[in-house]
Amino acid sequence: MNALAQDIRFALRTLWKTRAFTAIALLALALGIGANSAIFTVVNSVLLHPLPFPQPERICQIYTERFGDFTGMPDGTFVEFQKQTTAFVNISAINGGATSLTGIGEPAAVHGASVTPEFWAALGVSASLGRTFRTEQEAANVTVLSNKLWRTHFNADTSVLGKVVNLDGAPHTIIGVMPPSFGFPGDSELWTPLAVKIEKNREFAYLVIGRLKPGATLEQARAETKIIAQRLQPSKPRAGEGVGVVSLQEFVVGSIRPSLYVLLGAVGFILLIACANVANLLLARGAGRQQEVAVRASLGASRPRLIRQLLTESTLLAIAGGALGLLIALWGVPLLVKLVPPGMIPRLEEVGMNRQILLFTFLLSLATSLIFGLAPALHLSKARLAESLKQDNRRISSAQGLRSVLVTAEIALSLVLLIGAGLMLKSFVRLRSVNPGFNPESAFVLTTNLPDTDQRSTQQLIQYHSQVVEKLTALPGVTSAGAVNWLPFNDALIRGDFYSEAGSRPAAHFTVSKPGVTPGYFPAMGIRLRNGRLFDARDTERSPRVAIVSQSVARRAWGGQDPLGRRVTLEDHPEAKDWLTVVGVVDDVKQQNLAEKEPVAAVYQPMAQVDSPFFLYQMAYVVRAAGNQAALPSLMRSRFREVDPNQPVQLMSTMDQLVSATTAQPRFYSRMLGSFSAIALLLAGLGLYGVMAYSVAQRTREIGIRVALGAQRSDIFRSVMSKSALLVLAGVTLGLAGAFGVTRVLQNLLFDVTPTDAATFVAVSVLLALVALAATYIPARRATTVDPMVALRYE
Amino acid sequence: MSSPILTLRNVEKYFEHGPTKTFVLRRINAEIKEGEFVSIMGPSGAGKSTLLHLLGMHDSAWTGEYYLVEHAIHKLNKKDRMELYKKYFGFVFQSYHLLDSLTVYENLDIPLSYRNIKKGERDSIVCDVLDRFQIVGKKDLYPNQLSGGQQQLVAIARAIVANPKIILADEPTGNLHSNQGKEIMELFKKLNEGGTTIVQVTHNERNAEYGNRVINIADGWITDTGS
Repeated sequence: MNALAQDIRFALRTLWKTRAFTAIALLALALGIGANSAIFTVVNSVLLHPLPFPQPERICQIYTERFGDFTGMPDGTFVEFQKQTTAFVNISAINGGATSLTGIGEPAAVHGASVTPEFWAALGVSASLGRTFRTEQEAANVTVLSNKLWRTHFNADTSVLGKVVNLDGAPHTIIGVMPPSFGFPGDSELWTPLAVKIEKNREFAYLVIGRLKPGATLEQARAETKIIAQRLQPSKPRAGEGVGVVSLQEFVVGSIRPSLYVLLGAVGFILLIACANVANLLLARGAGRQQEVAVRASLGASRPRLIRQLLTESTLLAIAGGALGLLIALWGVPLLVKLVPPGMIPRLEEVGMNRQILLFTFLLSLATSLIFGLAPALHLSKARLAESLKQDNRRISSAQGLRSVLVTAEIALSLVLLIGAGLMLKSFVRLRSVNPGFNPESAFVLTTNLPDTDQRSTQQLIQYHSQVVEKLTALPGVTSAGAVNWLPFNDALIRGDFYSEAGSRPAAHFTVSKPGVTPGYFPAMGIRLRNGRLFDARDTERSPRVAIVSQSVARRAWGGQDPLGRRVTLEDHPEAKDWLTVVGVVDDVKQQNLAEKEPVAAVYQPMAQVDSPFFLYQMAYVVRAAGNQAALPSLMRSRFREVDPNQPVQLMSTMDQLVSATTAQPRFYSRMLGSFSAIALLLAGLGLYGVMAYSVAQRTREIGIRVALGAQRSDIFRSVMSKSALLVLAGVTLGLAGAFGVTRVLQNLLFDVTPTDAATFVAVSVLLALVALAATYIPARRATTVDPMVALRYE
Repeated sequence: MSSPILTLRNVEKYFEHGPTKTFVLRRINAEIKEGEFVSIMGPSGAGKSTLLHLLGMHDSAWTGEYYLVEHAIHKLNKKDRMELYKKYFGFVFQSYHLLDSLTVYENLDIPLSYRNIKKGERDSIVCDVLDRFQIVGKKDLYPNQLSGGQQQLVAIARAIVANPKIILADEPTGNLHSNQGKEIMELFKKLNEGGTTIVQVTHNERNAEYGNRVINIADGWITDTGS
């Protein structure tokens, strides 16, 4: 204990004595450990920390699979499942979506969830004020508020219970308020009862969760689910393969796990580079300490004792670096959380520092001290006593080979990170350059969601939307305005089958979107007309039914022949009135994100000819304007309010922002990997600079002799640069090999770029090589200024 | 004078360059008795310091037989040699080789710490040595705050703090001026009179006169054992 205290005292003194070295080492370690702590804080809170429910490992999500997508459970299946399951003590169906909240002042669009009453027991949660709804209230109009909504819209009023508010136009009594931070599913702001009803011509699918019975396992639940599914569809032998059960945690965070681990891996690389840097610094400093170590050995210090002393210094350095890193993480985590695009990472509100992060940082610091400290300690502690202690000892080269290996490793690791960042950047640039099929610039959009309890007729709803469009068209600067029920790059998209006149479908599962639009929609969105005409005033509810198709429909349904005048229907069993004549062909439009491999084909109908109110509840108004548009959003809101003061605006945005939102994730990854690789490049550059500067200092006598023998400055310069070039070449070669293996993990994050894209690999390698050689320039220049007279006296 | 404390038989040290060998020490046969004060002298490059470091077990790349009292050093492994070294030897260097980041007190304490002596006992021994060498007032100073002579004094104090039987000194006055050198040699004489065996490497005839025997080395060979 005494000896350890002695070692700590000596270590502190030594580190203080070499303050410049200590400062540089601390900075490198703080960056490496801090970045790891910051990312681990997110990983820990999102992936590792159990969901904030009692026994969260016993809560599951039950899903069905269709066409390769995981979807909810159809209502009929849910009802039967509820009756037949023995593995679950309760299961609950959930349906979420936008809800208009009125009756409390300014109408608001909130995110609500309709849930069956078993929802609360399945999660094991209860209200912090009032109560949740019980079975007998399934049909009752009650609602439970989220804590956030209670604070923002009800001023945290404890007398809110019993108040009546309108949700989608229907009165609901507030019966409870949930605890803070509860918002499942997603960021739900209120919950209403859901009564699952089976309707003849309509099938709804719900998110289904359940709590396992005591003693039941996930595997048993999975097996039972498949059996029930098979039982419900005896005619389909493989029906059981389309259902599954996963833990709720997996459902919530499973999709983000690979991406977070990519980020964690990236900061791991930075830490390794920082360790290599500090190890190099220790080895360089070790040259001046060989005599000290030899003296200690000659005084009786055993090698383990020497190693312990040297590792004590490394450990103190690492712990101090870790403490600074923790400060960096404390500052960095909130910043990181702000940079994350909305909705990209679940449970982000739970991200924060806690004891586990402190422990992680401490353990990481200890591990780091071993990584960077062990090799220098082992090397230095085996100092050759006789050579080190003799009076006429010339300076012994301090592990030049090991230092070269370390800097080669730094270059290699940096290259892997840089290539990853380069691939992400290229992917992002390619994604942004994709033509969405419309012109998002100067296109403003306002959306609303009328309640499906709205009693107005189809014609009344059409009239309503036309009024809004008329008012928006009259705004100053507006060149065109239109409306559409399924807006691209926004929420829901309804797809379905269609049939051409020959009575056949173009291909199995070739589904189309079926938007209803006003005549001004296409010019407002900037969707180009390719053939025929757009909808206009001729297309009313009494005129012949018409349609405009997108190019892919024309191509696939009629093999590229002129579709004008041909007829299509969107009904499975069409009557005469259900046949639509194609009057125009427009460009295909990306519907949900720029990365769609194929644009979703569309069959447009004039809104005036939509015959069901269901297709008119959700509406987006698109306005294209010229000139100064700063005031346009508020003008659009106020014009909308003139038509319906009680209906909240769900979204006020631009198409540019909606499109950008879909590229937010790749932009985020590009930024993160870009930042990490910039740090890595800086550290690697400093590492190479340090090695070359030291090498030049070591070779001062040799350089002096060479100059005295007639070497030119250019010879010396070339000699130093070529030594550096060898290290860089070795590092780049190793890095390329590593990148070939490692970048595959980015496969699912890349758009139109392969993980082994040759152009990126080459470009980044050249960039790194140039930066690395630039780092060598100063030492090389310094070498050319060596005075042989001074050098030859140098000892 | 009593029995031999250091015995070398046919000890050789060489460096190999391909097929050729460059000998630094050739067929060294020597005996040093307990209590002797021996000076090793010879021209520059003769192998004096090499021989001294070999005796001090700083060098293990040699052949032949080396006995320390009855211990056959040539048959021991590194760990056992280190244990014997700690028990028998103290070393004084021409460049003092004090640890710059330690105070005078700590420089004296460190050899005892490496011998796993408890702190209380170490404190007592160090205080005693400080007093004996009359450097109590300098115990909290760092080496760079001392003169050359003072540093060498501390180095010698450090060499004897663990009560070694043998002191090996490599040109102990080489970096000192003559008055300081004289003080150091007087100190060595006193230690030798107290029973400590001293082997020094020196160029200085006057320093050699403090001893009772001179071993001459030239070109790696012992030319005169002085006995």
